[in-house]
Amino acid sequence: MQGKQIENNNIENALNQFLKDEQHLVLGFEKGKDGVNHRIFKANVDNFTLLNPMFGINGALYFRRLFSKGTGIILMLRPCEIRAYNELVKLNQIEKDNIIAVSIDCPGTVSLKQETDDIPAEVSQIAEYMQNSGKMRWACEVCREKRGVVGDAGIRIDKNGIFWAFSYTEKGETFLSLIEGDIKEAPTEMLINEQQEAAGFNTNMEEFSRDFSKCIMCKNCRDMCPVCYCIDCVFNGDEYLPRGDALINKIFRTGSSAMPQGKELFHMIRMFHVSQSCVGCGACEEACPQGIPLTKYFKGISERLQNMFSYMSGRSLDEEIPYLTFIEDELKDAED
Amino acid sequence: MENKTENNPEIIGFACSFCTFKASEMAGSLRMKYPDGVKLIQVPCSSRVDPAFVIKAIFEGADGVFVAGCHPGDCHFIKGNYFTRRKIAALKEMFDAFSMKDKLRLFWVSAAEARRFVEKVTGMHNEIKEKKDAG
Repeated sequence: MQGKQIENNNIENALNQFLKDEQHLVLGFEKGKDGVNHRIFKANVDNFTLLNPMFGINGALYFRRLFSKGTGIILMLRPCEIRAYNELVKLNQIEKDNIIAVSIDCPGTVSLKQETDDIPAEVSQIAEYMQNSGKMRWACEVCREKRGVVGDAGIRIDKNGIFWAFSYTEKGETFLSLIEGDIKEAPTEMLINEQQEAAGFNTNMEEFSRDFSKCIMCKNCRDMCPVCYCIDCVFNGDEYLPRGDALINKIFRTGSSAMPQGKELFHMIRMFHVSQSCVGCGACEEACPQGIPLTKYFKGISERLQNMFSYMSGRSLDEEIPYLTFIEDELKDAED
Repeated sequence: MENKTENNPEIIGFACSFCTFKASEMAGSLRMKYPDGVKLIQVPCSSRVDPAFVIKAIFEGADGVFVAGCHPGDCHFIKGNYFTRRKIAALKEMFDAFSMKDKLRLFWVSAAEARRFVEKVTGMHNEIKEKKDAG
C-alpha cells in the first residue's frame, strides 16, 4: 500500500500548517504531566502525541450534535473513537463535510482507574507492555478493530515502530498532502493485525441479575456512551422508572420490587437500543462507579446482533444501520 | 381458586390495527374463543412497537409477549413490517443470549385469518402454561 512515512515531527508541522486557518481545529491527544488527555487544539499543536495508552472517555462523545458549517476539523483519534464517529454520522448527529477523521493504530489501553505511571513511551514497548503487564482493559483485549483502517485516513505502525500515513478517501488525500515527504510503498507487515472474532455470547438472567445487583442507576453509562445519542431518553421522566407516588402506585399494582427499581429493565433496553451501533469501546464500564462488567454484556450482545445482518458498527459509511433498512427477501424463519 | 389464577399465564400482544386486531375482532364476532390471559394492545402498525415495550412488558410480569402484524408485503404503510421483522428477529437473538427466547413471538396474521389468530394465540398460551406448570 502507498503511504507517507512520518518522521522528524512532520505530523506536527502538517497539523500546524492546517491550523494556520482561523476556522480550523484539531482534536487529538496531548501529553501532559499527568498522562495523556484529549485536547482540541487551536492555532498550533503543543505536546501533541499520536498514541494514548490510557482510556477514560470515548472522544466521539464530544461531537454529538455538531452541525457547524465551515469549521474544518481533523480528528486524530483511536479506531474505536472514529468508528463511533462514523456511527454518529450515519445517525445524522454530525455534519461530516468539513471533518477529516484519521484513525491511529491502537496497541491497547489501560483503564484510567488503574495505576498508569509505568507505561513506557516507545511504541513497540507499549505493545509489549500491553501484552505482558495484564493491565490492558478487557474491552481492548477482545477489540474487533484495533487497526487504523477506518475513517478518511489512517496512521499505521509497522514492525519497526515507524508510523505511516495512508489515505482512504478524497478528504484523506487532503490530509496526506499536508504531510511533508514523498509517497512510497509501505511494508505489508504491520505491528497490529486483524483480531480473531470471539465466540457467540451467552448468559442467563440469574448471572445478569447478579452482575447488575450493584447498579445504583446513576445512568453514567448512558451519558458516557458515544452512540447513545437521544436527546429525550425514554428513561427521563416517570414513565419507565417511576418515583414517589407513581412508584408506590406501581408497587401496589404489581407487587414487591427490588431497589433501585428497574435497573435490569434499563440496561436491557439500552442494550437493545445501542445494539447495532455499539463499538465495544468500554466507555460505559469506565464511567461506572460500581465496577459492573458492562462491556461483557453490551459488546457480547451487540456483536451477536450485528452478525445477524453481517454488519460491523462504524466499519464504513456506506453500510446502513440494519434497523433503518431492510431486504424484502430475508429472515424467513422470523415468524413463529 | 388462587392457585388456579396464578398458573394462568398473562400474555401481552401488540396487534397491528389493520390486520391482527381486525382478525381478533372477527374472531369475536364468529364467537371463537381464545384464552383469557391474552391482552391485546392495538398499535397503528407493528413497526410502532419499540422493543423497549416488549422488554418492559416482560419485566412488569408478563409471561409472554407477541408482536403481530400483516404478512410481509401487505403492510398498510407499504414497508412497516419489514422493519418489524428485523427488529423483532434481533430482539429474539438477544433474548436467546439471555436464555429466555420462548417469551417472545412474532406472528403474521391478516385481517381475514381469524382462525389462524386463535390457533396461534392458543398454541402460545398452552406452551407457556405447560412450562409454568412444570415449574
